Amino acid sequence: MKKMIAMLLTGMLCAGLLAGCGSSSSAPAAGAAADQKEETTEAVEETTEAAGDAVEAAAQAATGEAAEAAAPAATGEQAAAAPAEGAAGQTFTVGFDAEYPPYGYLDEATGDYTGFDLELAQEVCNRRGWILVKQPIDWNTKDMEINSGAVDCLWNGMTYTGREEEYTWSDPYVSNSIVVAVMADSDIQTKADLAGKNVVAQSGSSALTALQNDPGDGSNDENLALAATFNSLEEIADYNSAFMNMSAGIYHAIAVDIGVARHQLSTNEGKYRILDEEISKEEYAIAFKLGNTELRDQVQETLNEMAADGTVNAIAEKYAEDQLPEMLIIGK
Amino acid sequence: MGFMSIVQQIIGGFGTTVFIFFFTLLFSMPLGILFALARMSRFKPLNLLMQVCISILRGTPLMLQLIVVFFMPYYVFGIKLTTSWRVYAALIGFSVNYAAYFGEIFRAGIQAVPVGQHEAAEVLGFTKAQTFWKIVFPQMVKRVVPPVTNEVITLVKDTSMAFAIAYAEMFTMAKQVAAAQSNIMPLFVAGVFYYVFNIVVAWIMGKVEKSLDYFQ
Repeated sequence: MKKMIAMLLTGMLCAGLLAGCGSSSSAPAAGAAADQKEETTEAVEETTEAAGDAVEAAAQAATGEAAEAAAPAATGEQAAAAPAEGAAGQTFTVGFDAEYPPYGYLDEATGDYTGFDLELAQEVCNRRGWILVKQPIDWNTKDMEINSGAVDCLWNGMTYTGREEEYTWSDPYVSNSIVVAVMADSDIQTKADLAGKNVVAQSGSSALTALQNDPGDGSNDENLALAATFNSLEEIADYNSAFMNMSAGIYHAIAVDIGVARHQLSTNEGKYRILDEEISKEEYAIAFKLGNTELRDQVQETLNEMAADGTVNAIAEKYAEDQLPEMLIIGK
Repeated sequence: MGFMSIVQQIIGGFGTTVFIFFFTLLFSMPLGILFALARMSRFKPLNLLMQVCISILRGTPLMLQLIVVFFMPYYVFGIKLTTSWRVYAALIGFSVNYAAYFGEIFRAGIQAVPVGQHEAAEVLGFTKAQTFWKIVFPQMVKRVVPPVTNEVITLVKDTSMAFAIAYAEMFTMAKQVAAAQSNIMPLFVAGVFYYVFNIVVAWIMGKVEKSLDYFQ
């Protein structure tokens, strides 16, 4: 009897280990396994059932709670999107870094996620009758997120240049430059002045790639040579921390996308400065899972319509402070 | 940007933090007892399996475990993930990880009960199950309250790791507000929330400890 229980426990443990893998499939499997044994089955079934019920209840609570929590001041889209999933109207999940203004960030006034890219995505969804799900993600796991289908696209100032083969891309819509931001009173005036300085870039960002990537054909040698003159090139989780660190004197300069740098400049007037010399030029596009041309074509079609009737420009004008209208390359 | 609206944003994330916290405790405590019993089992394979499990759960970062739980259905079984799976993955990851720690604490509590009591119970005709639930378990609960409080408080702070699988809880919200405002303030506000929450937790656990202190 005791051995039976022990064996059952072992079995349940193994099932439990697997339960981490299959979402719903493992519960019935555990139940089925229990059916075959006799004496102790009832107890086991009860526990499995109870566990199932609890998880279900948790999930229900979670959808409500998550919708509430993730979008504090009643985010219409998210709250509506969660229960509507799978019902009428296809969901369109955009993965973005919520610490990347002006492309994607938390709007303090409404408590909703917004930004240039998210507004474009919203408009695309409105026109196609899709439900937009704004999913802030850890930018370091973006490849896993998109490959596993957890998000439908990455739309957040995503650099196209140099990553052509890794995703299925929309047409580029914004021309971006990687620039160097320094403190307003810094003695750094040109890229040459960066010699011996501490420079930082966001991990997984194209700015970091620009300074580290060696394609092997010499095309990036100039930037690599520049990076070699630094005292150090460090990585940081998000650009806001980078600017805070620089204010505190830890870093002398930040290699950053120009839109993000301008947003920092406009929110902290007179504190920072951008060098005239750029590190590199690149283009933003929307990234879809490699091979997902169907979704790409649909989004591209609507985006082209929006560019043609001036909607894209109108949305960009809202971010004129960050000079987005000048950076647009779609419809020009 | 007013201070009040910072607080408002962070309260939103606080709900998610409390949600993870509550359900992790709910699932990991019973699971911990199961782990402890399996770990002490005289049935060698179960015992060894449990030892390996606990060793892996304690020996690898929680953040990695969360990522593994979340992405495994896709990378191992090819199941397309949905947004709602994030919640389940977070709860499974946290519960199993904390169950490993609770299991070891419970084991210590169970083994601290003198052998003489088992013998006395046997003489009095208690079955093994009765001995465990009526004699050992209540004493174990009394003894493990302080170390369990430690783990519970750690759990409050560990919830911030849920963002590894893009489940936005309080600290993530604070960082997002900080980024939107280019301001460090929201992080401190979040810190105050964690601290106050933990004071409440410690106070409740103190009450529990006192109420269990029925022999002094």
